[in-house]
Amino acid sequence: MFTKDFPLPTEEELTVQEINTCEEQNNEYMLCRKEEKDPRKCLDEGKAVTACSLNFFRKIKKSCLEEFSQYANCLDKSSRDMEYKYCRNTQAIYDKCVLDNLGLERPDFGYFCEPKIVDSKRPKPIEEPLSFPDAPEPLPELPVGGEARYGSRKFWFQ
Amino acid sequence: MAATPTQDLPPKGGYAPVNFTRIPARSYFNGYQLFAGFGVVSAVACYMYYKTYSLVRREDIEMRSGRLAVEPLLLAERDREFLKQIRRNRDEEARLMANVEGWEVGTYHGERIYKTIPSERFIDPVINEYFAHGPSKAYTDNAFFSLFS
Repeated sequence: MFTKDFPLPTEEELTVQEINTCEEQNNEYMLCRKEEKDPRKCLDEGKAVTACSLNFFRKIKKSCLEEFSQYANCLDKSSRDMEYKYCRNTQAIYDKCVLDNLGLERPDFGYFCEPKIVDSKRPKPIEEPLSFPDAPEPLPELPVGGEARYGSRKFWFQ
Repeated sequence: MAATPTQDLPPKGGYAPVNFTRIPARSYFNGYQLFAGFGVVSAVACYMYYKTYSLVRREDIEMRSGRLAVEPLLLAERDREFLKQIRRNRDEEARLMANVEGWEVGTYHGERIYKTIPSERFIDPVINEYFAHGPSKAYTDNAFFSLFS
């Protein structure tokens, strides 16, 4: 639960208009998410990712919209899982169109399955080593509140 | 007296001789040939399996590659919406518990939930708490995604 003093970003910071290669931004964002484990600290990187993807979609819309929508339609309706193997024809047309208009080649097979090393400017967060004091610290005294009015506090007892 | 009753007697000259010699079944293959046939069929099947499995693995890699490529975009949008929803939950709780004495939002009558960790740390809310203020259909659909999607 989140108290009043807990810093949460405001509505303005979070509202971003939503959807080139975006690889740098994507890698930065995923690295941030893995290291910080806190969604609040990775908002800027996330916005960069969305902005980059939206730019890409705008470029596609200007030049290759027909082929793109046909390819998407084929992937959607050909199989349960959007498998690539049923849509090679439309894929070929779409790849040719993108290569001609945007100059982008389809990445090599399995490119995104490879692990990437990200050289990021953000410093790595310091993980404090676990400390094992001799005796456990005593818990603070419970406030005087009386008996539990609604039974157990455990959330799974509805 | 009466006519002689008819009897079920053997025919004249006795029964024909019965052939009781063994007639073994006609065997087309001997044991070695059968093992060899098994080996050949297994080898062919093994080759076909290897080819198909390679293809399946290639398709898996392609699909996984495609999913990993799209993942950051989807996660970014989801994180923003997640934080917005947390803010809405907190505001709703503040509104609900405004008149309760001694209640601080996010605590139990002022007592923190996690007592030994620093308060700046972001802990994901429990899923019941995240969906507490909305319709229960949202909870079932999201918490049991694989059952109801």
